[in-house]
Amino acid sequence: MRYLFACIAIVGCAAPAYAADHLVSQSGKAFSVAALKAKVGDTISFRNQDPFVHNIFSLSDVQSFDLGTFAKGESRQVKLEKPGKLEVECAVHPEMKLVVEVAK
Amino acid sequence: MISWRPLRGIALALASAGVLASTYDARPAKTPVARGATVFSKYCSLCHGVGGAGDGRAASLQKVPPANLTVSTRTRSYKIQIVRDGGAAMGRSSSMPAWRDVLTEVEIADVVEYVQTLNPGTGR
Repeated sequence: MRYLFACIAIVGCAAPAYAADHLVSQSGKAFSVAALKAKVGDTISFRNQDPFVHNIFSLSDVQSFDLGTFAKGESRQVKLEKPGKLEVECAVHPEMKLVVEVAK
Repeated sequence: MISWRPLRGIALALASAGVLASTYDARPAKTPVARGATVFSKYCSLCHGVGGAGDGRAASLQKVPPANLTVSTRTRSYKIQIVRDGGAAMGRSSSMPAWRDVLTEVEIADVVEYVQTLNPGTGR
């Protein structure tokens, strides 16, 4: 029994912290959520569900990126690298905003 | 007995003001350049910069720097085409989106009319 507990403890300590993928759709010229909580290492997948192009970029100090412009039905993914607050925008539709709180 | 004459005067003044205000609201639409400036400010300045010099806040994210429109000598028809169809369709940067799904033909014409004013020596 003692060995069993030891094995469970070892496996538990060695288990990696799995990163999550957060799906955010773009529909009706809006993100499906206005705010999102995530962790470092997680990814966000942006899926364009509008019949026209969208774009994804962030100029945040924490992490800046440009996923480019993509058409209906296409997706783009970004990995969250640092903790902090990210503001994600669409260059084609300036009214679209998403705030991501990235925890350690 | 209360005299209503002063009140009638005030009512007439207010009615006149209302007529003047509605006349003011019905003033002619802004010029194409003025309308284009509004479109440019909302959609283009992000990359091309407020003054069109290619120094917008998102310019640093682009692999190919956004065009400096203050020195561009491209013709009006070229600019209309690149705004409508995007950079890739013109053999330019794919970072420049095709705006035909976002802007109307009038808005595209207006914004190009405004861009033409950024470089007085631009091609017509």
